[in-house]
Amino acid sequence: MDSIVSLKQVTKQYPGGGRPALDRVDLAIQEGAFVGVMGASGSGKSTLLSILGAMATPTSGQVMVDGLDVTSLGPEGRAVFRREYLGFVFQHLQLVPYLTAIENVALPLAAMSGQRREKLELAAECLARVRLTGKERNLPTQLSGGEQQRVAIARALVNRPPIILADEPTGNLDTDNGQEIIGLLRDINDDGHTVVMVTHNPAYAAIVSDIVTLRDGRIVS
Amino acid sequence: MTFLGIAAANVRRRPVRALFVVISLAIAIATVVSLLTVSRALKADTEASLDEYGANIVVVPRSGSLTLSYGGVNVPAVSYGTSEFSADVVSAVRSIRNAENISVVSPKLIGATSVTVVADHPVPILLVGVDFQSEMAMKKWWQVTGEVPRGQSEVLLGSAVAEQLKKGPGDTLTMGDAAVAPAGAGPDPPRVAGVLVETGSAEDGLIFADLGFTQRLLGKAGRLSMVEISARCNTCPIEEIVRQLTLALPGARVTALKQAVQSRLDTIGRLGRFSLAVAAVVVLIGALVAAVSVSSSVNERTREIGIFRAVGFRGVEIAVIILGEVALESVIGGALGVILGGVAAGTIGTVAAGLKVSPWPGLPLAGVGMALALLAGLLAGAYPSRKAARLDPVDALRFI
Ligand SMILES: Nc1ncnc2c1ncn2[C@@H]1O[C@H](COP(=O)(O)OP(=O)(O)O)[C@@H](O)[C@H]1O
Ligand SMILES: [Mg+2]
Repeated sequence: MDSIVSLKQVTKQYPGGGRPALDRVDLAIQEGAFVGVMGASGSGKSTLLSILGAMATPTSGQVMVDGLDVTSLGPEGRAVFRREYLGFVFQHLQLVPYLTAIENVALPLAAMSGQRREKLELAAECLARVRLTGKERNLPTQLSGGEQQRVAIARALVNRPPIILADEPTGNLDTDNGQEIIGLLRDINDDGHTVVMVTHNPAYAAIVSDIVTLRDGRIVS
Repeated sequence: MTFLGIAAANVRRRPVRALFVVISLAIAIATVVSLLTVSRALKADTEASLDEYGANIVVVPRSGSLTLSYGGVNVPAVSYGTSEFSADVVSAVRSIRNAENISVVSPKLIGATSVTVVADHPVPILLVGVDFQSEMAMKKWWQVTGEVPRGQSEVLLGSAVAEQLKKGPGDTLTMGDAAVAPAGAGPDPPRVAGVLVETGSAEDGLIFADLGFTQRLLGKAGRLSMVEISARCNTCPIEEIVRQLTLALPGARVTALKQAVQSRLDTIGRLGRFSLAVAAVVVLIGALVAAVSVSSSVNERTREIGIFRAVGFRGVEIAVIILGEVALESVIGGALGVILGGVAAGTIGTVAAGLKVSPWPGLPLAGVGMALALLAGLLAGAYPSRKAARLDPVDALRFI
């Protein structure tokens, strides 16, 4: 199988930080994989995800996604790259508070051409996929934590990105809701999306196809 | 979802946040609109009253060489019977291209005559024939003891003349000289209708009589010594009116009383400049308050902007969201300001200045108000939106 993402000697040194948050990381992710990123708090998991997601640039090293050298892009180029290649799910507080569920899902489509109707239909489909039909017009405050997280997953899917990145998507949820989110990500992966998920929870190790463990900014397995 | 749709949703669903920008701009625009409306009304009122305040153009025959001071104006001494022009001058004045700028035309015949009080001792007097209606319209400051002459044979005495002749309202004058106006051919002896309250000018030493009466008495039917004109000079420069009159009246000398004109224009200009300066300051303050409020709103919304960045919005697109929001608030604030300003102008105009001011400021001023609000809003949003556009997504989303 082809690797859709590859990192070569990626180092991230935050300004003022002591040792680098990522230290000469080499990593290849196969297309269609479900990667679990594990490691203690502060080991560099979020930093790794932000570099994979072209949100941050590495201090040195190279990031290739689908044959594209992401490290060569400027801030605007990376924004366009994100909208075409990636879907994000964060830990919490990731919905725009004054937009309804369906508007939040349709958000990534604002930058794309197409009819308003089509966009809303697409968003409604994605909401149906996370079993939120009927809550389209709810504002985030009118949704439970688990529902909010499902809206975020629907949003990550709406632009049909090849790669979905999730940073502790179950971190704020109880076990049942957590299980539901993991199940959804599993389904998404089955549909052909490559999924990279940061998690603390060793219980999820059985669900993922590959595990990357970080310690002090280095990959240990 | 569109970028402007996102902006509109924020204004619609979080109206209290939007209120600050809306109110600060509404107050600024209301101030500008009411100030400009009131000053415009004041200006029109001032112009209207100034324009009727005395002559600002004098037309005299070109041949006059000697001059005498009349009402503070040097006019050729026409009293010795040489320099008059035909009364056609009046219709010529009325038919120039800018005739609508001419508010009052007062033709005059000036001539020497005498009044006999004690038999065989005629007192020489300068007689001015006027059209009393025009003359009174032009000389708003004139005060008359008794009445303003109405009939053909009524006269108005200057205060010094009245004293010298010991004549007052109701008295009859024996006027004229048999050599000029043979007995029977001349008009009836005139009656004094009123006495002019002392003006401190040459007018105190004159007798004002009806123009037709004077022409007959002096034997100068259809002749005029001078024409005084009061022109409205706000819409057309006085020089242009003078030029047109000079062309229309080849036999006459047309003189603008620059001082009178200039002081009018100065007063009006100062009024306009003052209100513009105050308006500019108020808009600037409004823009500044709006800028602070937009800026703090952008700071509060850092996380949200991080989400926009994460889903792939470019910097310009985020700027469009922020500026779109400010623009929407500005339009609401501007409309509110135009309405409030109009109402305030109506109230202030009536209460403070005693003017009738319409609460609708008119389309041009309403347009200017809206444009100013939008300009101030965009100015206020310029820096915060730029800052938002440049926000690093990782900084904005500390958590990922
Ligand atoms: N924006 C930042 N500035 C400075 N240091 C940071 C920043 N983000 C993370 N770090 C540091 O980098 C290291 C890795 O952090 P992170 O990638 O968030 O770890 P994890 O997600 O595994 O908890 C930590 O030591 C953290 O303090
Ligand atoms: Mg983390």
